[in-house]
Amino acid sequence: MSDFSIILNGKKASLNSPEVTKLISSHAPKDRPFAIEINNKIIPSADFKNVLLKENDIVEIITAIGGG
Amino acid sequence: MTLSKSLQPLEEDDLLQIGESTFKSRLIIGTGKYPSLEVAKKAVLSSEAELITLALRRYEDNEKNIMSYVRDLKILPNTAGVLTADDAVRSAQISRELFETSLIKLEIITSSNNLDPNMEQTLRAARKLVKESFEVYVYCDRDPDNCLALEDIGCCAIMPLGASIGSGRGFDNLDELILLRDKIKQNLIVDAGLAVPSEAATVMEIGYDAVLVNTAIAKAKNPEKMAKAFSLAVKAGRIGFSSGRIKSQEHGNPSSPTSFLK
Repeated sequence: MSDFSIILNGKKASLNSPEVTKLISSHAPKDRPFAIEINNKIIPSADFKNVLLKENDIVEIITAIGGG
Repeated sequence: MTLSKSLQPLEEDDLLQIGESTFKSRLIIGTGKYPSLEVAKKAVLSSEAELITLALRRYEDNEKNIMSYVRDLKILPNTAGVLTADDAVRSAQISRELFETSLIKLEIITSSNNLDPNMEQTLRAARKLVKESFEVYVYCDRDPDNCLALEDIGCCAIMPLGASIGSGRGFDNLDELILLRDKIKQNLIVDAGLAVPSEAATVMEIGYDAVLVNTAIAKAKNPEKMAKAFSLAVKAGRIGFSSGRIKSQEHGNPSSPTSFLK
């Protein structure tokens, strides 16, 4: 598949695979839990391998930070 | 028997039950604003807290992993920064996926300049989150009707603000907090505004179930020591409450015989 663009954490990103698992291996943290939203929909971790990305998808990779 | 030994059973039996969770400590620690994660970890350990709050943020790969500093502690994710019920629910759902917990600290502020709770949005979000089986710890104002409504909805902890978040003003109105204790049967926790340990002791002495502290510890000159001080104050206040205070009276009442050797 040719390269396509998504918005990843608010910034344009170019991908060469639609597989969410590939996005995770290149852009998600390996040392902490995270959650993924695609177009405002939370993707359960069990579904990561079944979801494919497409042009202009808005993806958020979210993790924990200190807060009160 | 020493005094500290005689107090041990009182403390050990005096567990805090919130929803499905049981805690020995009645101090909940917020993890924001620390000078470093190392300092935050030391402060949390020093506080003996078992429940800490965390927030959500977009992942940045140059950021340290706070989760490696807070292992073995129960996480209370918050919805900090949201202005609407819809965003709060979204934040809670992300937290449930990320932390694998049904606990959520519901916090909806009025605006980025006014951190006091937006109660209309808070009540709306609380209804939805309880329906979705979240255990809702709710940051709220001190209005008795609002707090009673949150209790009726099924929130497991009602958390009125002492004063504005991070203000260090302590209590804007202690009488309102006392009145709430009379009306609310559910867990009551003061969240926000405290500056010094004596304020935490006061909250516990009037019968609150716990105290949530962040800025007063994180921004102290020595957060580790301040965390310890808050821990001791919460314990002292709780024991004081359970010991039953005397009634205040208009006039003095002598502690010694008023006539010599009779």
